[in-house]
Amino acid sequence: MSTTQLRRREGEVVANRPLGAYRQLSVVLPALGVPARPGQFVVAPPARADQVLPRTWWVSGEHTEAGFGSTLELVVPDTGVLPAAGEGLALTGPVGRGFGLPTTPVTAVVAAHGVAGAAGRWLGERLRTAGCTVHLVSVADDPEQHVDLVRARRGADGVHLTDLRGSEDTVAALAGSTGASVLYAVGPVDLSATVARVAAALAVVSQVTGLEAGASGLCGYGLCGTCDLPLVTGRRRGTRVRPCVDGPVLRGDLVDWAGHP
Amino acid sequence: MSTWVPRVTPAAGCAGSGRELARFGDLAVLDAVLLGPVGLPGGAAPRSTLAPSPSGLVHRQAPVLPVDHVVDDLLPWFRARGLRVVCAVRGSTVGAVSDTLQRLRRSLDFATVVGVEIDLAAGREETRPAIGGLTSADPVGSWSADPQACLKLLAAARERLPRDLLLQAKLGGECPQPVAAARAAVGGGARALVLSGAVPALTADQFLVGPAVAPVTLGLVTTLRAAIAAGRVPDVPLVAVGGLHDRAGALAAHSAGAAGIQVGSGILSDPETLWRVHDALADAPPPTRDATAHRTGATTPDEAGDHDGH
Repeated sequence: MSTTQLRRREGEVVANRPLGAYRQLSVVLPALGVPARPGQFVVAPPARADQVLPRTWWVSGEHTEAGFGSTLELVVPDTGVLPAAGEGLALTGPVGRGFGLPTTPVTAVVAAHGVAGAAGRWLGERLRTAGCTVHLVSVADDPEQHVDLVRARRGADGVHLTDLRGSEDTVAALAGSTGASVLYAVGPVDLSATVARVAAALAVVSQVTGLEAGASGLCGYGLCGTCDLPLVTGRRRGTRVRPCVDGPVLRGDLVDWAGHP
Repeated sequence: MSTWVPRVTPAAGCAGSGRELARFGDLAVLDAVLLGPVGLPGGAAPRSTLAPSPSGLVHRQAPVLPVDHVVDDLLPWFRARGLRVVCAVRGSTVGAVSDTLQRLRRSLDFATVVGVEIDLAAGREETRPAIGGLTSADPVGSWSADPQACLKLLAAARERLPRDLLLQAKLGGECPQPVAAARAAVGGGARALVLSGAVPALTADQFLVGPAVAPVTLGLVTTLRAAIAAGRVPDVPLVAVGGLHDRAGALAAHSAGAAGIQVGSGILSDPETLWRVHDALADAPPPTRDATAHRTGATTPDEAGDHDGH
């Protein structure tokens, strides 16, 4: 159990600008106790009074300045009900466990789907800083849905575009040809299942997200249980993991992906 | 003397295993934490799903927490922290419910359990003899649809539990005759009624919850309060659940005659709602107007007609 209390904190939107098919929000919060990591997400209250479930967004960048606070970069779908610059926005988080970085420089493949591409890009930049060779796979069903490819190309050794159906082949081919020793996936659970399967086939490590921030029907607080995933191993049959609380980043080999294509 | 019921608890299926909720506030200030639904592990548990709808959510019934997991891991966690727990128990047969209660009862940490809630909105299975002396179990709607089944289930549950332990029955929008089912449940041994505004939606195991069903919840509380005043249901405290998302909603249910509130989808919207509702009810005057009026009605039968009428 985490002893830290999760509190919703008032932040201020300092920028809201278009980013391809999405909007990029910069939100200033009181300084975070620990730096945010790629793979974490924030929970924002529902946009409208007739909505019950809160919104969840991937964190795609964080910058803390002493005496000023922490600025979170969020790339979010353009729903038309986002706060404008200068308005307040209450956020819980960043919550969850982020991606772990390898201790030695290795070759890594990062697959990210749609809006999660921004979080994938941030992870790629972190990996590059740690000395890794990074290949990004941007997965989107519509060519318009890839996030900011220009900056992605700047921050990675290679960027590959594909759709969800072709993601398995692309990731497998890329991981095979580059000799990647770790595969990352950010985005829908189906992509995570695909990447985990590829990693299992190649006998390499995978770190994948067990939930999709921004998916509908998700509370993000770890209370609703819709994100539960079964584990392969456990003390008992039927042991489950709750990505909202224990993740969202999980080791791909620990989860039983049987129900996912 | 009236039965004690916890004033504010999370609703069944909305508190995770308790640990998740503990990240958002102090569970010790609550009268009790509702843990559940607890049941026998069986088959492939369906995934719970939530589908947003205007002002509400359509949810599939949450998979049960296996009773072994509850006994081995969760109750010790609550006991170590000195928290009080109400276990919501769900089962499709009398045997499944009694078995679950039996295992809870045998737990070394049963002292932390201050109440048990039996879910009458859950599906019921009837065991029928079939050819060759075998039996087959067929789903036959919810428990609450059949008052006789409610009575049998609650009587079996009462038998398994210490006499002084709170036993509450939960029924709601799926129930065709709430008064009859409530009377049967209390007759079987329930000491409190949990009235849920969740209404069936789409398919049999899906329910609409959220602020959209708050009027259904208030309607059930009012109906049952009137039935109690008229003497058609024995005097038991009522607990309201369903769509009570804020101070105003909780106070409305309280003044309609609910002694306790359970917060369900409100927790999913913002977990701190639970503590806000708790604070709202802590400030509210303990005896409600209707409850007081009803007690007068109970002592002077002449007045029963007045309450029956409104």
